[in-house]
Amino acid sequence: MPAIASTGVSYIRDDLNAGSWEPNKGVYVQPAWDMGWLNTAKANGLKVVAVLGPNWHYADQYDPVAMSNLAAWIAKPA
Amino acid sequence: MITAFEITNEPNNAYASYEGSAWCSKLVLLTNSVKAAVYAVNPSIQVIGLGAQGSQITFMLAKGTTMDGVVYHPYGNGAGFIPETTYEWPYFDYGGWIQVLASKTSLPKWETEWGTGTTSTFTNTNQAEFIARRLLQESGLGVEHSFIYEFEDNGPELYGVCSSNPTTPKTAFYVVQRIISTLAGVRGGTSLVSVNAVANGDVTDVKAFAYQGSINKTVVAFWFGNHDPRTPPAASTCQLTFIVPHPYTQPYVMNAMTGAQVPLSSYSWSQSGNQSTVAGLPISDQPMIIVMQ
Repeated sequence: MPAIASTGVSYIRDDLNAGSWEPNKGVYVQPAWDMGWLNTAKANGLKVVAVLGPNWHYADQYDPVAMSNLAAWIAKPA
Repeated sequence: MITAFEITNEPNNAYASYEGSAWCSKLVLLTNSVKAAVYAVNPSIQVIGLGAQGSQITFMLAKGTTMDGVVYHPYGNGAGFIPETTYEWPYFDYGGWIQVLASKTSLPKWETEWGTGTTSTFTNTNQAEFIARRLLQESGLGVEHSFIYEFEDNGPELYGVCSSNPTTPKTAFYVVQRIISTLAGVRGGTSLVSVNAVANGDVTDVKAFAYQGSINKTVVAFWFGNHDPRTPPAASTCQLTFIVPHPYTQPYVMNAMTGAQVPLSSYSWSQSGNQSTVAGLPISDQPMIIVMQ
């Protein structure tokens, strides 16, 4: 991550694995892997674009309500 | 922790396959739904998307969107080695695509992937030149956000500006660093560069952009585009005119690829009011950058 920051870029972009953030329907957690790179990015002054994709725990993997709820949970200020 | 959510990667692929023929309508609804939910709890986080291709994007924009930015991945057309091209069907000229998109929406543009890989025949230097030309063009056109795919080579995918195991900068790493540093505080899209003459007559291939901002700095980049870096057009010289609306000292011309600098006074340079004209400038497929600060 420090090497990325040394180029002068201000953002990185990577996937959030929705199924790891919501391992059971309506149950949200901060997965260690994603939190690791998110915190490292922050420590290096890099902003993050997070790609939100399907959650295989749902019959409709792109359920708009489920994806909206998850995004809101992640977005909620600590 | 997160500045923006991008709603699905390249939805014209897996998302479209999953959702079927109505995927565009569904994606608009999904994106607007996530936008509303995120905005309700944290308005500072942006929601961006509709990141398909060309007319798919303009079709979805026409359906009405509440999101904060439009996403696309403007990789080069065909084999992907000419940075002034793109594959945004039916738009294949990168600059033309940006013009079309700007005519359809005033949302900020988020190019969240673009780049090209090195191969046994497309060298690190070729890749660096591709990235330099595209970076300078997108910034010159006022594109707000640009993400090079990717930072480090990933298995057999050699798109990185660094190779892997161990992480080692390729030529592109230094070129990106140089361009970001040179364009700090300025951006394109507000001032024009006039191409008065090209000695060998190759005017159609000239790309020239001015970059300005709220600081006393003007940057001008120019090169011959529209060709694979491995088969460049003949180099020549050109005359450019541009506006410099601020004081400056010791202006210079820099080769974007090497960083080599020469004083602007090395060329035939005149100033009339705030208008600068420089003649005898070398122009080739490798971008040159004038810095007046």
